[in-house]
Amino acid sequence: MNCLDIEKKLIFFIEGSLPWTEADKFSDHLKNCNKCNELLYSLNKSISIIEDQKLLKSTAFLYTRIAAKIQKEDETVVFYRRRLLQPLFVICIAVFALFGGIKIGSIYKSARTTEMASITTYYWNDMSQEPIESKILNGE
Amino acid sequence: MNDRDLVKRICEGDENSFRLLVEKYQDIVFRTCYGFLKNVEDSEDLTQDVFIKVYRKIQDFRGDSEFSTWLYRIAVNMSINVLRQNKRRKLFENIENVIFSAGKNNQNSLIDVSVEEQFEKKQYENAINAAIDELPTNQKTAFIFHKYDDLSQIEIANIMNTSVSAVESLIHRAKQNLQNKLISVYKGNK
Repeated sequence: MNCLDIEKKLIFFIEGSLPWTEADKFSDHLKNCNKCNELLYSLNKSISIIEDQKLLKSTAFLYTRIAAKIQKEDETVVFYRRRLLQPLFVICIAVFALFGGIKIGSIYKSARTTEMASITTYYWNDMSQEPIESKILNGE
Repeated sequence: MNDRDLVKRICEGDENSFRLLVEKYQDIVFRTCYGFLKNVEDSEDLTQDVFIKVYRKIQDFRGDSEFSTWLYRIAVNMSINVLRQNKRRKLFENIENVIFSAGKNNQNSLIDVSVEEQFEKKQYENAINAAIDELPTNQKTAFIFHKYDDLSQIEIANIMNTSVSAVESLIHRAKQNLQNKLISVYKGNK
């Protein structure tokens, strides 16, 4: 077994997951190779860091912080609902009412205008008011 | 009280059940997040965000899988999203850590021994953190579940929605890639 073979499976040797025959060959090589021993030491050190990291724990006050954050988020939602959405809703209603009123007014206006126009035309049309004049003009 | 009962009570608005759930799983979620982020403060913030998301989305939990499986999935997805956003920031932090820990060497001999050990430990820590960070996402996820959370391959397969053999392969390749990366770092340091 040479150093290249060792480098390929060193991590598995450290974890003890190599078959025992192969592990024996590893041990024999490592007894006589300083270079591979240094690699073994370094790799072992790095992997043991993971074991240290596993011991880390979250803060004891995690639930308190979570509850506070949830409450703050809910208050923000209520705030935006009151300060933005409600006025927006009122403005929408007002705009709708305004355009609705204009639309309705325009329909009513056109009917009324026609009626007014016909009345105005009737009273401004002297010839229809004064049929005698039209008879004289026509030579009757 | 089992997880299903806790979830049912949380859906009904029982805050004490939510507290019990948080206390039961906070360390697990924290370790998972730390496996990805390698920063205690960021991991604590993300752990809070994970549980807030669980609180908001608890009605969506259908009970097809174990609650812990669902929780792990949320933690992993959020961790991966944070990693993507913070990749550049983490690079500068790692450089800063190496620079500041190297500066501690200029002291008297008694203190130097412990500082040297700290420096050496910090170098190994940076090396393993960087090597894990460079793993492809699937390999990293499987490795973190295997090494940090001590989950079985069946549990990992359920969380990742894949087969046990796929998980075995992912962990094996993750370890090989980790080893190759670390060895190249050690050789480069000589």
